[in-house]
Amino acid sequence: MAMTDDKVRGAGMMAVTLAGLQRPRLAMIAQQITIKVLQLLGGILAWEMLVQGLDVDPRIVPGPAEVMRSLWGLTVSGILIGAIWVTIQQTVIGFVVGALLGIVLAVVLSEVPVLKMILQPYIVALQAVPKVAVAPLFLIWFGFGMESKIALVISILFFPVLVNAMAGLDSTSEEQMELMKAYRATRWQTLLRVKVYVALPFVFAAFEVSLVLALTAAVVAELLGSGTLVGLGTLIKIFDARMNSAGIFAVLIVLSVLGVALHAIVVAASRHFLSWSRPL
Amino acid sequence: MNMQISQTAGNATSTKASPIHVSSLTKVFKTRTGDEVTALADTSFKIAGGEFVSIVGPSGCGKSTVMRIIAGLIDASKGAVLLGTDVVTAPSPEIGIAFQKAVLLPWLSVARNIALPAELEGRMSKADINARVEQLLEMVRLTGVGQRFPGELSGGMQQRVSIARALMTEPSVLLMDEPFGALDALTREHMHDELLAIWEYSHPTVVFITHDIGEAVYLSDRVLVMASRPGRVVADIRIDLPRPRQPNLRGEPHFARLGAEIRALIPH
Ligand SMILES: Nc1ncnc2c1ncn2[C@@H]1O[C@H](COP(=O)(O)OP(=O)(O)OP(=O)(O)O)[C@@H](O)[C@H]1O
Ligand SMILES: [Mg+2]
Repeated sequence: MAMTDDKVRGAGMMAVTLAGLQRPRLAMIAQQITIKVLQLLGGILAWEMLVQGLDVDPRIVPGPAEVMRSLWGLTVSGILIGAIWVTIQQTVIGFVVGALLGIVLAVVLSEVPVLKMILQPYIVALQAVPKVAVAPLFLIWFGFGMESKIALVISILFFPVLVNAMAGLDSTSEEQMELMKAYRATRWQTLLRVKVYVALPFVFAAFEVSLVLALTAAVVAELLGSGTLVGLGTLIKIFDARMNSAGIFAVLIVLSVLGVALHAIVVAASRHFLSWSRPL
Repeated sequence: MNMQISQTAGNATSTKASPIHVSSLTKVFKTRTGDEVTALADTSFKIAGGEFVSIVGPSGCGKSTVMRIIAGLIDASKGAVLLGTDVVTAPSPEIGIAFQKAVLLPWLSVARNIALPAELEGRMSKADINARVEQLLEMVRLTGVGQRFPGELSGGMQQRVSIARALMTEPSVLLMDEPFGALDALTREHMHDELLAIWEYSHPTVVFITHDIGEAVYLSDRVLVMASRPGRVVADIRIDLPRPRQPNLRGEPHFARLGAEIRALIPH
């Protein structure tokens, strides 16, 4: 009798814990979503109340309703998606080319120390130049198309990637180099099997910082010299000329979402490629 | 073709494994503060081809330094090492080496870490490499962990992976620097018998560094005792225990006598 009682109670407890395992997780997710939504609504509400309460001129700071209307208009007209495409292309092409150039030069310099010694002062000097100040030159050299914008993105990205990749390639341990030497690895083998992997965390750190910089560079380049193609920066310029701050706010919201998304992609890629570097 | 190579290697190495001739080796390190440390002073010894020799001695007496010079990893300040008839100036393909630290590459799976020497050499086929890796994993009692990563292993497991790597190319000269230091007693004794089985099979020349005197006696033909400041060999003890060595040997009086003799020779 007592035993069956125990059994029943035991089974009951097991059911409780099983359900209990599921419930807190679901509840936690629901709770998090609720918090996020409340945060967003709260922010928008505060924004509306501030604008109304302080009686701000909507041409200076528009309320959220107006910004949403503007965002909606841009979306249905297809202008927004076109502008996003232009800016994303500039950012991504610039990012890929800049990163590749930085990595390749880092490899060459770390393999040929003499070259590194010769070029080091130039690298330091060029790195110190505010790249935005060079944008007008890029316009002269590459015209008003996408090329000049991509050039600015490349120039902003190149140095952080170069510097980090060089530091990374040099961060092998003495023991690792001794291991490769003992097994008579060629220079090329040591590069591809050790140095590249040791450098990877450094390179991804540079990516994380500079992808958002790349987006900024693409927009700034458009602000400085927009041309044939309408990207998000050009859109801001157009709204600016018309004193349409609601439009500018709408573009800013889109840029913020893009920046967060790009950053998330880099973080996910770094998780994937560096899974070995996180000890359990 | 590959089968043939390993077979001839298996049969003929007892006469083929190179002797090691260390002659008047001196190594002076410059420290960062500019001081000079004499790690080795005029050290000489010979190891016959296919002989199993252990080196014992207090910490810092230059054991690892001797090994690294034999391996061709660092230069001697004076003197030379002959491997066979050649003066060692760079690492030789004959040598397999297990370092004092495991030094595994964290981005490679355990299996790829073990395969590394063969992959670098580029002579074995993929299939042969995989078969050999499986065999070695079993030998070091790590069957099934081939696809895991070094960061997921305990220190003792990592050390066994590095031993497997040292054996990957069936080297005819095996240099091991405290290879079993991180292992528990039982695994250690298992590894002793595995290592001796390999040695009985292909008779590589073995230089085995250890702090464990019992281990040195159990495994070796000879034990070299080193002293420090400056590092040098102070005794050369022949271990005249019958081969093949059996675990019950550890309980015999002559085994204990040899151990005591060596212990008395190690300066404190
Ligand atoms: N790269 C180096 N630079 C300077 N000094 C070194 C270097 N390597 C070794 N030494 C010195 O040489 C001496 C011998 O070192 P070694 O590593 O050969 O000792 P060991 O006998 O292997 O010691 P242990 O048993 O602790 O491993 C020590 O005094 C050490 O400080
Ligand atoms: Mg040592």
